[in-house]
Amino acid sequence: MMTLLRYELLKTYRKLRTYIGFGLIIVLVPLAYWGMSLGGEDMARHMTAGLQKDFLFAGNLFNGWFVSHLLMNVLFIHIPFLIVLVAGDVFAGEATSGTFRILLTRPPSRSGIFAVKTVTTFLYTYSLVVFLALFSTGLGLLMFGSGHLLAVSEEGVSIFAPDTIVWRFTLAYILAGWSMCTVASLAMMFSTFVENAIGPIVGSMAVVILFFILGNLPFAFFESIRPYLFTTYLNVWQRVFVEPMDGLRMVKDAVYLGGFTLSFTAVAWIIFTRKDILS
Amino acid sequence: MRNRLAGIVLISLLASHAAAHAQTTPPANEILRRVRGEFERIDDYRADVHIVARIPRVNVPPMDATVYYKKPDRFHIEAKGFAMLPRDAISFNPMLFTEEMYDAVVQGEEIVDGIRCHKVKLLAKSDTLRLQRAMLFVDPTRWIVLRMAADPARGSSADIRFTYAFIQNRWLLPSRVVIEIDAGPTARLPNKPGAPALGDDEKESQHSRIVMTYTNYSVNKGIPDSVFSPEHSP
Repeated sequence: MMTLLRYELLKTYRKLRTYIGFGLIIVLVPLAYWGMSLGGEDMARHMTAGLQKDFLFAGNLFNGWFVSHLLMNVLFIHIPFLIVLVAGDVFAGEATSGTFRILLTRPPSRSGIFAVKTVTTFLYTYSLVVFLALFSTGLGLLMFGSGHLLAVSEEGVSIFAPDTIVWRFTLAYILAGWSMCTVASLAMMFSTFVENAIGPIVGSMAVVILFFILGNLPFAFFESIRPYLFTTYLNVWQRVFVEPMDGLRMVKDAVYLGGFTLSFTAVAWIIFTRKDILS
Repeated sequence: MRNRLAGIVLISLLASHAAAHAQTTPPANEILRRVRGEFERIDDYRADVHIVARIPRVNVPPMDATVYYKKPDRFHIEAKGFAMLPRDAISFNPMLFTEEMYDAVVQGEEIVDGIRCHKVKLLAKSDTLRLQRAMLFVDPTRWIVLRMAADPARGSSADIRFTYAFIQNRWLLPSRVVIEIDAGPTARLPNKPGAPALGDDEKESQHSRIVMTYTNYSVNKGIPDSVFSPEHSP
């Protein structure tokens, strides 16, 4: 099984498509930070404008943690696009290139092949998230220095002391990776339906966008369906930056995401193990 | 005849009470002059401040800062990391309560922390002053402000209570300041689109409470002007 996994990893990480996400992060993060260095301080001031009428602020809230958190908020709407590029290709890509027939005539079972492809997809997802974490926080701290973290959410404004920030970011990125695995499993499921990767990539993105929109429409009907949309729980990592932290809610959201991931993966497994390989 | 006599006694009693009251309560400007007199002996000070803030919908950890003051009205704040300090409390300066800047009137007495204080109402003469209206509660023996109900031009009204300590047995300076701020800061935070606006009852309960503890005072040791230069301003 480990040999199979090694080959699957080699196959995935040898494809140029795998590095589109990494490349985009390498280009986008410095560009975003450069832009922030020109006018980002005003953003931090604007976020606390209401408070500054009553309070004098001393110290710098516009720092590496602030820009990393801001970027995380912005990019996590777009990271699913990068995830589905690989996850949508994982089964359909093999079908397109006609390698399934050869692969499935080898001794490993279909379930075994499915398992290593799933693990590889999830490893890729986490590798992209970890890369974003290290690159964005590392560059952010290098360019803007350290300090307290200012985070604004629906619940209000939170300012975190430096000694609590590292574990919050670590937990946030672990949860972000977890939520991206749900998106990856959706794309993987679509990938088992068809024999061309474009369909799963576009299809899963369409679902993510549709669910995002439906989940944010402020009308009673859409609010009633919100709990059944997996996109409702994708921002579970944002709860790490709310004080007091609602641990129970975070665990619940993570469990729901796990449920969705498991369901999508189970459907993908059923389809893949029963599918006629015709290409 | 007996009724007339009783009336005269009553009137004279009331008159003597009023006269006694008039003697014990000095005019408002005299009270402010004495308050300034106490503070006038301080040319400059530096103090460490520990701030614990409880503000609805705003979470801040306990903060530490250093406050610098230099006569007559220069303040500077430094923080190693980050600190937010209530404007009306940190820049509290009795030296500003002058006849040129405020109209003052005594509005009776009230007990604050077990001390019967003179209540002095201040009204700003210029609309450019941050503190537009205030009620000062002045300790008539030590001539210090124990409480101030501040109503600034910008921002929320605040109720500030001062506890003093003798610094080097010579200067009375605040050792603990408790500030209660109205709902203001939180009410201005963004709400999620579609979320219901805060009801009146909710706004009522949204009071902020900030406790500032002053330690390590260093008084009249001389602070260079460069500390208060704009480059050093927060």
